[in-house]
Amino acid sequence: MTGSAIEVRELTRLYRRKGKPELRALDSVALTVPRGEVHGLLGPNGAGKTTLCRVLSTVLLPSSGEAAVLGRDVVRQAEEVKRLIGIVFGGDRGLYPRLTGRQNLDMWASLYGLRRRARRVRVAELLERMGLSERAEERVQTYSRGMKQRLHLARGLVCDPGVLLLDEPTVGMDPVAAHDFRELVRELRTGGHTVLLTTHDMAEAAALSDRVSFLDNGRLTLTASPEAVGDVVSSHERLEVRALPAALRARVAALPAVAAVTAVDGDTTRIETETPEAVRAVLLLLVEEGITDIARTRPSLEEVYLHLVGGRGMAVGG
Amino acid sequence: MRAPRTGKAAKAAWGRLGAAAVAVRQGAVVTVEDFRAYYTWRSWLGGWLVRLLCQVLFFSQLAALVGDSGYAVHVVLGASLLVGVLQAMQGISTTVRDILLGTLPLLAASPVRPGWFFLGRSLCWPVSGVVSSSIVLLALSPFFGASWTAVQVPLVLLLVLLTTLATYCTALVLGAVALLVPMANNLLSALGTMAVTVLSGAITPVHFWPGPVQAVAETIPVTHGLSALLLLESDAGLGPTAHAAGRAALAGLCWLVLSLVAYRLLFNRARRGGSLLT
Repeated sequence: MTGSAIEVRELTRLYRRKGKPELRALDSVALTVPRGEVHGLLGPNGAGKTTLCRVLSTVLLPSSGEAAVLGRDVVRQAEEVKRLIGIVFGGDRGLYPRLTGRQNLDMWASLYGLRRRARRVRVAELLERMGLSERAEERVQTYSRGMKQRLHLARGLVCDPGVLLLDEPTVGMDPVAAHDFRELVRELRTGGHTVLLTTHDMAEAAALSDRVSFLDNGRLTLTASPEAVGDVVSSHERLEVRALPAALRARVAALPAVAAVTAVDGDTTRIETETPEAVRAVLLLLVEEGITDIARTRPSLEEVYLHLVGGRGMAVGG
Repeated sequence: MRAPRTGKAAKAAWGRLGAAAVAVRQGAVVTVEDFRAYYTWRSWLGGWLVRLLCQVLFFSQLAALVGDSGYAVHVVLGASLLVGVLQAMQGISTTVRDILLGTLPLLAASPVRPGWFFLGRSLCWPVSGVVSSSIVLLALSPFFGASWTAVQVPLVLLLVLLTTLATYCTALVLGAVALLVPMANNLLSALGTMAVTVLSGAITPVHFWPGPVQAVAETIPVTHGLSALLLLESDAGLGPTAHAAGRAALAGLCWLVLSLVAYRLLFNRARRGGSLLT
């Protein structure tokens, strides 16, 4: 295993189920996350995202294969790995509701071996950073979901981990709280932390991730940057035009190297060209005809996601 | 070369001991706040303690009516000791609370040894048990024929402390089993409490039971703690009392070791199986 932050090789995790065949939650997964990268892990429910996070956090043993965090094997060097990672699970659970925010952080800091003085400083610093200082002495059961999630993140950071595993951290958050949370993750990236982020939110993954991976039925199907990932859907250049008259639409379609002209939604038309030169010809024609509401686009992460797993509808993996 | 290696080992051992102490203390922080959610000082003194006094009074009065004075002393001491012991047994159900809170995966992923953390996690119950049991015992037993000298009172308190804490270690083992089968939590709690009540000799003398049942009773710390208390009350001498107390301590120690092993095995099993920690 190399000096990457996360390195996974041929990782397989099986679950035994009574009266049913074994569930292959992870199937020969291979993934490398360099230090300092925010890596988005995308996939439908049951794809294996959480299982991968749990294996990396030493909570689950792999059935076969290898996984290492900052060069330490998650099975053979689990005790070392535990001190190098921070975990944040989404939802309300994982905190002691009758303790205050400060007590929760102080408890975990203590369990991670921080001495009293260092603990006091670290806890105060994290509470301040998460905007929780004013409510630090109140019981967690009185916190809103967004506040609990920020406290979760603070808890995950209490040991100053090299690698942070965020498992659907914004699930159930209102848009403002989710926005604040993303800002905090951006700050972490600036601070040099490596983050593995599992999410269903494509906009979140696109906004935060340096690279994304798609997991489906326990298999890693694709790893690329959010910008490059669109090539999976289409390698064509794209223009989106509003209020394109039907007659002009036919003229555009007749231009050389125009691959497709399709209506996407409402009054928007998508024009795909095989070459960048063809884009120029299309643009000239549109502007000559007085059409100026034009945008150059790439396939969104959501389109890629739907392209990769959309055929399954609402079925759950496994 | 041997000296540095020995020094390293000693340092590591101290480190492990320190980490264990931290885990117990942090578990205790959680339990104190849990306890505060159940009781205020007023409700504990005016509600809970009064209820316990009435309970012991009822059984002792019954014993005084149906048996001789010796039996009444036996029952008042046994029932008083049981009020603390049964609170210690609440550790079984408190342990399962962490499943609902979703903190088990986080504990599993942290450097903490879960057994030490859970030792602190329900500690409020035996502490409440020791205090209430001591008050009830010293307040009621003189009315049913028990008498204590000034020298004996600290020994009584020590025996209550020892017996309750030793029983708490039994509860920790059952708590580990309850984590394994959370649906059976209430059943385990009820069966554990009943076994301690029935077999320990608090109400029914141990010699009443057939041999195999007596052997099971020997594993229960209360059996020996109560025996020590009865020996102390009857002025049998420090030797026999200390011997019985030693057996209670040994039983408690065995349960403690078993609980630490049980939590370690449980978490290792959960890492393989995944059910508890997902």
